Amino acid sequence: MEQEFASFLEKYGEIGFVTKVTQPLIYANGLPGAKLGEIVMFENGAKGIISGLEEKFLEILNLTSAAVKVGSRLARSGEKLKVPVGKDFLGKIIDPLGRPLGVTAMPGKPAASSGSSEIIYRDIISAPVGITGRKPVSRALSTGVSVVDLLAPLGKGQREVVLGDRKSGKTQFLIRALLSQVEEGAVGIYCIIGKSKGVIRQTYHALFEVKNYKRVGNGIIMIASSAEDPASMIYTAPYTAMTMAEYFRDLGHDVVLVLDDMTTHAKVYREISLLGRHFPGRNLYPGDIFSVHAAILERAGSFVVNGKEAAITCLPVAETAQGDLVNYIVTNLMSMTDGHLFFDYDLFLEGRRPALNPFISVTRVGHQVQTPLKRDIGIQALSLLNSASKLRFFAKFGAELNESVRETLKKEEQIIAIFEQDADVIIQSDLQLILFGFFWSNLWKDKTQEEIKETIAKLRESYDSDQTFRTQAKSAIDRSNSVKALVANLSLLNKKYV
Amino acid sequence: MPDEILKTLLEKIITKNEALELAEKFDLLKKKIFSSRADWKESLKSQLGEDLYAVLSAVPGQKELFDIFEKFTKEAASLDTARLDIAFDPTYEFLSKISEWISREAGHKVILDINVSKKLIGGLQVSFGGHFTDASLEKKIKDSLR
Repeated sequence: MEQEFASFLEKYGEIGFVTKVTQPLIYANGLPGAKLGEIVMFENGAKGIISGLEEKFLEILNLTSAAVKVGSRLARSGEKLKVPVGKDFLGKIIDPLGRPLGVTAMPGKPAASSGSSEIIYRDIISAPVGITGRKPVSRALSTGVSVVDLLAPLGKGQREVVLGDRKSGKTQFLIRALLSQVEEGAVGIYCIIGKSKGVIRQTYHALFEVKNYKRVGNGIIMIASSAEDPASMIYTAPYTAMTMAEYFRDLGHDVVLVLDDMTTHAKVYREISLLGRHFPGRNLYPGDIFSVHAAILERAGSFVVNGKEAAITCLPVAETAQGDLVNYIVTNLMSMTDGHLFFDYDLFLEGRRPALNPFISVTRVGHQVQTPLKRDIGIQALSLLNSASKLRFFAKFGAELNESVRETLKKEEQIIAIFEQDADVIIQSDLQLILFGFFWSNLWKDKTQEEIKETIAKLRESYDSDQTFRTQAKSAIDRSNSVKALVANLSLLNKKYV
Repeated sequence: MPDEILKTLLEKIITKNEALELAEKFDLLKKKIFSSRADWKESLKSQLGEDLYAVLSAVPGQKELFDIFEKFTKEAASLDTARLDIAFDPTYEFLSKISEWISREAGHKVILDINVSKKLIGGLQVSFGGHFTDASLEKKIKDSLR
C-alpha cells in the first residue's frame, strides 16, 4: 500500500493535501494535473474519485469507508475507476467494487478472486454505444409471469421501469423474470442499491436457493450495496452492474439487468450533492439527476455484436409512495425508458398476485415484438377486464344485473384467476397461451376461481411432465394466429386434458 | 509604520510551526494585557524575547498592537507552505537557506512544514504547489537496487 502510494508520487511527481473532510466528500489542494473522474490514492491506502475540479481545490468522493485525516497526502493514479468483470463472477454475490461479499457461498463455489484469469478490468463510466451499433427491439422477452407477458409484454433490449409501493410484489416479479430469462440462456444481473442486509440476504436466497441454483445459479450475478455502505459505494452500484452487463453483451450474450432501486440511488446522489454544496433543484435533487440516470439507462438496449443481436434488457425499479406516479424521480425514469409496469398496492391488498395494474402499465415496444396470437389474446383479455371494470362501477349502485353483465363479471373473475401466480411459479410462454385458449373455448364457464386455479395447477404439472402435451400445444400455437384459430386448434387437447 | 512591523514579523518566520507558535503567543499576550493593570509595553517586555520586543516596541499604541496581532494570525495562516520531509533534525541556518531558496523560486514568501522521517536515510523530499520531488537517499538506494 505504502509502496503503491510512493510509486504514484514518483510516477506523476504531483502531490495534494487534504484540507477538509465531509464524508464521503474530501477536499484537497495540489495535484495540478488531476482530471475529472481520475482515481486518487491517500497515504492511508484509501481511494477516491475526483468528482469536482475548482480553481483552488479538488472535490473527491471517498470510495472506501476508511477515515481520511485533514493534512494527509494524496497522489494521482492516472486511472479512471475500473471494476473487475468476468465469467468468474457468475453464481456469486459481490459489492460494487467487485469484491466478494461475506454471504455464505453455495457449496463448491469459492468466492470470486480478482487474480483469476477470467477477470478483466473495465471503466465503469463509458459512453453508450452509438446508433450504428444498435438494432430495434425485435425479440420478445418472456418473464414467466402471464399478466406481464400477455398484457404488458417486454422485448429483449427494452428498458422498463418497475414501479410500486413498498411490499407490492415488485421484487418477486423481478426475481421470476430474471430466473425465467436465465433459464432461456441469458445472463441475469441483479443489482441491489442501498437496501438493508436482510433484504440482500432474502434476495440472494431467492435467486440462489438450491432448486434455482441447480437450474440457473451459474447464470446470475448479484451486485449488492447495503444501506450502511459509504454513499459513494451505493452510488457506484448501478454503474458496476451496467459495466458487468456490457461485458457479457460484448461476448454475445443477452443480459437482463435489474437495478433495485433507482429512487434510493437518486437519494444517495442528492445526499452527496448537498454535502458538496451543489446548487439544489426540484425536491433538492441536483440539476443533473436526469442526465445521471439517463446516462446509465442509455447503455442498455438491443445491439449488434459481431453481426449477431445481443441485448441488455434493463429493469430499473422505482419505489412510489402511496401510489404517487407523478413523483419527480419516477416521472424522470418514465420519460427515459420504454414504459413502466405498475404494481398496485390496492390490488395487492385485494389479494391479487402479482398485483400488476394493467390499465396503468405501459409498454412502448413490447407489443410490436409479440406474435399475432399473443397480441390478440392480450387485446381480448384487456378489453374484457376494461369493460368488466366499468360494469362493476355501475353494479355498485345496486342495479339489477342482466345476464350478459353477470357473464362479463364472471369472466373477469376467471381471467384474474388465470393471471394469479404464486411467487415462485414461472409459467412458460406456450402454457400461458394454452390456458387462455381453454378459457376462450368456454370450457371453464361454470368453474369458480378456486376450481380454475386447481385446474391450472394440474395443467402445469401435465405440461411439465408430459412431452406429448407440450408438443401438441406447440403445434396448436404454431398453427394459430388468432384466438379463434387457437380455440379451434385446441379441440384435440381439450378432450384429453380438460 | 504598523504595516512595516507586520512585514518584518512575517519575514522572520521560516516554518509553519513558528508561525503557529507565534500566533498562539500573541493571543496569550493579548489576554494578558487585557487582564493586567500594568503598562502594555511592560507585558511585552516580560513575555517576548529581545528581538521580538525590539520590533514590537515601536508600535505607537495598544490598539495598533492588537491590530498587528490579528493581521499576523490571518496572514500567517494564508502563507504558502512547502512540505519538507527530511531524514535529520535540520539546523536553523539550513532551514533559513532552504526557505530563502524556495521563496526566491516561487517569487513570494513561502514557509516550511518540516517532517523528520528517519527512513529517508539522507536527503529530502519537497512537496510544493502540488509538485513532489524526491531527493532522498532512500530513493537513490532503491533505484540503484532496481
